[in-house]
Amino acid sequence: MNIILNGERHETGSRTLGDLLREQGILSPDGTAFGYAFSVNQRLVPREQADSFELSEGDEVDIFSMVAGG
Amino acid sequence: MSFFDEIRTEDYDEWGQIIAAATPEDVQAALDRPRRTVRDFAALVSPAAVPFLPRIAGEAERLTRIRFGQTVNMYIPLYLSNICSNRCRYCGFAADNHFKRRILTPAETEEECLAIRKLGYETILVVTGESGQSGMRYFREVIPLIKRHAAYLMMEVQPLDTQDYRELREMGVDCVCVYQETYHEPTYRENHLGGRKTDMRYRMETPERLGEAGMDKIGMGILLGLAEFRTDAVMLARHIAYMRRHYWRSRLSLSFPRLRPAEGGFCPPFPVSERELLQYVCAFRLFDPELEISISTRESASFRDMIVPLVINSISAGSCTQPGGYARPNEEVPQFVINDDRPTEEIAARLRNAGLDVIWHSSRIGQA
Amino acid sequence: METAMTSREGAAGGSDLLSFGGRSFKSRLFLGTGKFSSPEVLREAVGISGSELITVAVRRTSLGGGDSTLAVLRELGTAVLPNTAGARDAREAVFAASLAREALGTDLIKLEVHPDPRYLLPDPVETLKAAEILVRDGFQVMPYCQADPVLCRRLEEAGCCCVMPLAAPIGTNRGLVTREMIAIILEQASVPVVVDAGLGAPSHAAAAMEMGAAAVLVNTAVAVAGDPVAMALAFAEAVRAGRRAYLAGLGRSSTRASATSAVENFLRDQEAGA
Repeated sequence: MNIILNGERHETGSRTLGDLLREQGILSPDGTAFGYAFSVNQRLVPREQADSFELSEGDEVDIFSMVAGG
Repeated sequence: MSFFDEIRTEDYDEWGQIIAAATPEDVQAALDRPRRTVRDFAALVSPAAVPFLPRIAGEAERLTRIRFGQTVNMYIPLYLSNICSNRCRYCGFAADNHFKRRILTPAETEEECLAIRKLGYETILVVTGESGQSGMRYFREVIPLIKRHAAYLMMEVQPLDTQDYRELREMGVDCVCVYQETYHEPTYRENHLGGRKTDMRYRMETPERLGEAGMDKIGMGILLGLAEFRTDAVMLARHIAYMRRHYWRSRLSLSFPRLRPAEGGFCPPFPVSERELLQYVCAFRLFDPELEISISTRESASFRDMIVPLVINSISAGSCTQPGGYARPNEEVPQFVINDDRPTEEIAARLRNAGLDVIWHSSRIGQA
Repeated sequence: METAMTSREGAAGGSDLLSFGGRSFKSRLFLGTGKFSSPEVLREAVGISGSELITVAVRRTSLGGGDSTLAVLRELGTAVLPNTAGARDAREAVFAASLAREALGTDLIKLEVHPDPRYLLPDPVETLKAAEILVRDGFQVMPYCQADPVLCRRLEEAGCCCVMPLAAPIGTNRGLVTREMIAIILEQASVPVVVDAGLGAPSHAAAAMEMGAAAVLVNTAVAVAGDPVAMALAFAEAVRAGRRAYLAGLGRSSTRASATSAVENFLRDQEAGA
């Protein structure tokens, strides 16, 4: 399906947010995502809910991380 | 945590020891420090500070001038009733004392206000005893009519609930004074034998209720002479610091009613001399320079002449403590002996000679 | 005010820990991670400074390459303080805070709301609004704000675990421009006061600590120095010196010795009568 990932159109075969994260290589080997947070349509989705969170066509998915900043 | 709960964790006697053990070095350090703590206050009010009194007074004067300029406010007490259901051992109005009790009707109140206006006053302090007859129902009748005559309206009545204070504020009350008398529980119990005033917690939490209600100014103080005054003063300083922290939007004023021997037959167990009084007041000025310090006609003319130009912000004159006494002077029982009975114009003239501008009210900007 | 008394031990070499938000810090220098030329320089600067609380920002990940700031800080073992920089209003700040908490598992948040992109001055209204929401939501809020004493009292009332008044606009390196206001804030605050933003030289940091600040936060002055690692060390030493001076009790000014003659007469009469 087509979604918008971090502001860009993106085609993905992932059905759930968890799958998408795996697809993007965001997750650690143990499946955690320390240092990352995600939102779908501007609503925060906690890591525990990502695997069961089903994506829909046109969803705006944003992946955030902690970066340098004062 | 209310202040009552906070102070329960304090050891009253331990503070007494700290005060007694204060050294001249502690006093000097307290004098030098730009922002003084309660510990510093304890040093300033201790026996060790007595030789430092001229310097303490000098600093107190300097702080007063910086904060308040060259002004002093005039106010007048308006006694509406001397009916009281409390039995306070030290007070002329105590329930057990037999004399003719009175509570002014609205018409009589109006008469008193007109008499007061003729004297030039715009700041009025309404005083009542505590009774069912002078509760909120009575206040709803008389406060609005007094407010028409007062640019700044203060009350010294029994402690009330927060909601009552909100209502009074709506009616135009600007300041409420409730004196704790003493923070020493045993002394409080011994001297308040009956009536609602026996509830020490309710009384002590009054400043907080006033803060909650958004009262502009809150008057605090102890009754000097009831308990050992230095330790009680430190508790009052703690209370003031508490109020500054939690209710910083309200102004605070300090009065220092002093029991004099042979007044109404009650002998104060810990009489305070005029010199100790001077030390007490100056120490408070150093501890909290923003305090509005007030003196009544209970003190002698000579003492007032000395201390008013030094540290005082607000004084009463031409006072009468008998209900109805301004319109129709009478010989009824007073609440306390008046020791400065000079007329208002004479006192005002003296203050002007001392370089002060006498003002009749200082209301908040934007207040109607 | 009273807190200064309890840390008197610090001057003698005892513990002078700074505690707030459920944490304690030995170092009173906090650092920001922006504008460094490389992660290596950042790592060395943070390491040599001894700083224990380092700020990071929340951004949409650039999915091609990574930002290794977080990895560097994890290696160094410092506490990480996420900030909401970039938020233009309370809603965005609250959202950023929730992202940061999710990402890091920390309840500590540096609240920054600056809609003005030129001077990056904090919006007091949105900051207070966001602070109230975040405190209710269980965050330990460290609000970056104008050096406004009344605003700081409101933030403290709202439950913030400290206040962070600015010394000068972010990145200007102008030092304690707001000194007089910070002095009032220090007098009135019951929570730690961390002076943030605009400190350009170690002497500025020392001055803030001498006044009684609990800590300082520095970013630009270290990151863009000729030698950031040396500058980080200089700041650390300045903060320690300023703190030590504060605890030692800065020079006592003597008070006027005179009183009015009326008082002197009064006291003399009292003596005579006594």
